[in-house]
Amino acid sequence: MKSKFPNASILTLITQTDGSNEKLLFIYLKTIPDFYPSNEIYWYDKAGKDGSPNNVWNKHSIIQWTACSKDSILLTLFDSIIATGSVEIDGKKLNLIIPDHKLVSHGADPMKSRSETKFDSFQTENNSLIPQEFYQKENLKFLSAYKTGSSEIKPLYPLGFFEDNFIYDNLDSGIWGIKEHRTAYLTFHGVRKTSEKGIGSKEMVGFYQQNFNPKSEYVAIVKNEQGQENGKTTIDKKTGFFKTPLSEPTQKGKVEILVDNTDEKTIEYFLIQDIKVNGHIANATFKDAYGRDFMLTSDKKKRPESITNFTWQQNVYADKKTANQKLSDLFKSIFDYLGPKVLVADPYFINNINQDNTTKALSLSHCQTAFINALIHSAIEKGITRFNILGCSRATNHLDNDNTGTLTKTELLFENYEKLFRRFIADSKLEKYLPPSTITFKRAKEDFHNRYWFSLTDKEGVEVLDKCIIITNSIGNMSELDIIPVTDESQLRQITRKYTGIFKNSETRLSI
Amino acid sequence: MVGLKTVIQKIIPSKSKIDWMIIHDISKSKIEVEGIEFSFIDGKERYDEPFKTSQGYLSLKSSSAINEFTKTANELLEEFESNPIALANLFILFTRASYKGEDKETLLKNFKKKLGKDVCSKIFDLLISSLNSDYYKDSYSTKKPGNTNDWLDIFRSTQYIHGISDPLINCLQLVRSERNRKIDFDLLEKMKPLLRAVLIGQYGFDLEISKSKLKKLYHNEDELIFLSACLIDDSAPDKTSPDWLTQILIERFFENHWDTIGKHIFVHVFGLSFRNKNNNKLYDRLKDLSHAVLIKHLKVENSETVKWISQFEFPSDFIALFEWFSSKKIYPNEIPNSNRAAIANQFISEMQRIAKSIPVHLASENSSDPFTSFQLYEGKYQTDLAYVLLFLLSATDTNRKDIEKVCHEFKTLFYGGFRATYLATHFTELMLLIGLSGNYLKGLNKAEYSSLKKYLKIISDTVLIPYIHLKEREDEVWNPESEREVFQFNAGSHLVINAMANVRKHEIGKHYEPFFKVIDEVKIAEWK
Repeated sequence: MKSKFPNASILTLITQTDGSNEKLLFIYLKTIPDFYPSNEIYWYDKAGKDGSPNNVWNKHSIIQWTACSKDSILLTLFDSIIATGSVEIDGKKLNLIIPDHKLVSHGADPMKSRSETKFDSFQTENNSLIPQEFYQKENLKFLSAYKTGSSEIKPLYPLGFFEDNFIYDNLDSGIWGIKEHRTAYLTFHGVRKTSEKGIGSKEMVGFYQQNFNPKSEYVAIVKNEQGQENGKTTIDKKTGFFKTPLSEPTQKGKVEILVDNTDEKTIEYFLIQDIKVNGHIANATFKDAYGRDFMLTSDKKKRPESITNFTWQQNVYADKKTANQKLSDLFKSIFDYLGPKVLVADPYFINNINQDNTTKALSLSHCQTAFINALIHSAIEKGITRFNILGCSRATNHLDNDNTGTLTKTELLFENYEKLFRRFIADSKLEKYLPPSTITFKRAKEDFHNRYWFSLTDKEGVEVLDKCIIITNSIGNMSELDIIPVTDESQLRQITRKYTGIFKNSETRLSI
Repeated sequence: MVGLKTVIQKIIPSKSKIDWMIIHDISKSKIEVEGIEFSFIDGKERYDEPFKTSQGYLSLKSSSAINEFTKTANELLEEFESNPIALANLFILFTRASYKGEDKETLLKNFKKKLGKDVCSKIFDLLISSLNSDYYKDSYSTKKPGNTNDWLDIFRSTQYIHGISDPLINCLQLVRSERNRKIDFDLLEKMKPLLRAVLIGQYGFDLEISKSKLKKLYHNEDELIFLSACLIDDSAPDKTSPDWLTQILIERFFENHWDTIGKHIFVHVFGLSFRNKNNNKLYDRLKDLSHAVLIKHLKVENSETVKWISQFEFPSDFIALFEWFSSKKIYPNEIPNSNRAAIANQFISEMQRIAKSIPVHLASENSSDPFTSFQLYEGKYQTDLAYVLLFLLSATDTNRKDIEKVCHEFKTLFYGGFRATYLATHFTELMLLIGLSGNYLKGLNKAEYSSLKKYLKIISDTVLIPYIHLKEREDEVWNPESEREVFQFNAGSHLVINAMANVRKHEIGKHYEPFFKVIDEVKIAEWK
């Protein structure tokens, strides 16, 4: 066994003083990735030590108490707080007012939401203890340290402990208490090298992060949708690693971890075939993401001189694939028309890219696929020398607040863009067509709201916006879309004037 | 042509100030002259026009029209001889004339010949003073540049200015006849920042400065800032050093104006700046001169030098500092103890400053990273970290306590949400890479090895465990078959994994045993 394997939790209570009592507003016991050596409970300085709390909001007498100790010790303390309605903090006794509640247990389900943990939640409908000021997004942002500059509200300790909107979302569901239990961490994915497109993975690799008992045997079993065993292997206790061939290629099923033949963890999976856009060039033919073959012709320079209005609606096509192919072809014709230098101005960039929590695979929506397929095809056939995607921070705020359960932070957004673009360029061997620094993500310093795709041209060595197409929807979740080229000179000038300014003042966030 | 002359005779004297739209006024008279046409492109407002609307053109269609217009021009010059504003407006009119053989500049040459140098120079001043307030007044900010980088920003912003027949260039023709890209500083002196920036940044003019003028400029901070930016902006591979780049100038930059000039050029010359990638002759000279000036200070033991060091920021200034040491072969034992200690102290104060700014970074909408970890792959950054270790090896117990406190502040971020963990990870990778640079250091003594162990113990006692536990969940750590894709965002963890392997292989590895023992007690994955 590892002698310093993480075993610690943090317990934090947020209370509101009410005479000689404290109303319990929120209580959270969270397992942390750290090792705690003793059996003592450590109350943090200015957040419980010597009985003095973190006075986060004097005006409303809202205070916080935070302790660190071993998981088991804090679990016991948590239970005793709920059972007795009181707690002794470094010599100071608090009498807590705790609402009537129900207890809901949640199994470990990493496919959904945050973490590998099991947790119990304490729920009260119409919790009258919560003051209006506390149940308010803006104020909770100050408390959770995602906003600075309040003269009244100080941040909770430790800084950034709560995810943005975590408290609000829980209060919104009536939850005021969360008690996490430590469980092992499991991650796995299909082996990319041996996976077959459209069929699935033929091998599975994974990692089980557990403080292994040297006397026990740990086995990973992969099962198909029908629950039949598809692969089985012993986990290497020295490394947590496992790899198993699969008797049938798989996209969907579950991985079970057995310890001495007893279930310890199960995760259902749907293996996303990672990046699906996979152009292929061979013998002067390009096979696109929809499996169509195109001859690579030599009349590369001939670009369409005009483009017509078009309305695309997914449901008018025979099936989704046909619809998406059409969408991709439309995008390609726009890129052909605008190229070789293109600027896509869209507040949301190309939107969030979904990432599976367990397997870390990226999955693209149908229009993201169409967009990238079109980009590749146009780059190969007509040439693309610069491709700028300009978004703004309003969008990343929106993505940050996106409440889909998966983390969609700004940092992650660009990390995923980088992974996505680098991978498809490498996988499809497109370095020749999209050399380094061709694709750039830029963030505007000011907000904008419309979506325009522009061409960039050189005028005496200076890049200016030239042609412009109005696109009525953002890449990400399109089911219908109007494409309108701007032909009126004065309208064109008005648009390009504004967006040239936005473009030239933007900061480069990522260059591929 | 007589009709046109009458119209001009009427309009020009009526103007009490410079009018860049003079063609518009003349065309409004609806006069029709054979061989002459007015054109205004489309007359609509455009962001890329210096005065929002095209100034318009007076096209001379035939050779007889050209001849007659030249004759009229001479007559008008004589008529307005004593009226500088009228002459200036007349000049504008001539610059807007479009005719066959225009590139021979007959009209302009004639103008200059007729009026002589002094008058031309007076008109130039009038026109520049007008351009100072009117040129792109709606498109560009007129904020006064306060340091070298402000100027460089203005230079860059002008790259979007493009004009056919730029009035600024036209004005220059009044006072210079050379067709090269050199420009005398005297001509720029009265120009506001935007005009100067267009000439230097967009048209790429090289400055010429007379010796006597340069002497005066040594005492003028605003102009020194401008000169420093002109030097730094010349990053193209073929640029050479101008003769006005003197040691005195560099002394002024560093010794008298560290905040506004010195620290900026220090980073551009030695640090991470896209401008020094070309390593041209100008930059070589800047390096040599900077070295000559700065080394004197570094080797002297006095409070001035300590104060200077106490202004360094991490990471930018430190990367420059240590790249300077590395490229100019400055060995730490050549540096007086007080200055060495000041460098270590300053690094620690910078860590404290960054720790204090955690709330700002957490709340930042942009994914702000105070350590600019995406630049870790730069060799200079890695050199920097090895030097940091070297200096920390002479850290005092108080220094170590301070480092430990900072580590504790970052450690609790590992208990938090995504953004908090992100900051903690970048901090830890930086501290680890410093600690894991031991194999680059030679000839350490016993005390230094002991100091290294103490440093590693601080890391082991604070941020190491959560880092290892979370990081090994990444495919590249746990999966021996991982493709180990290298991205900007995971540069840190790649370097940490490599550094661990390198140190283990190296003879210094034995001093890391306690450190690796802690990792062994936490890690599950192989970490290879």
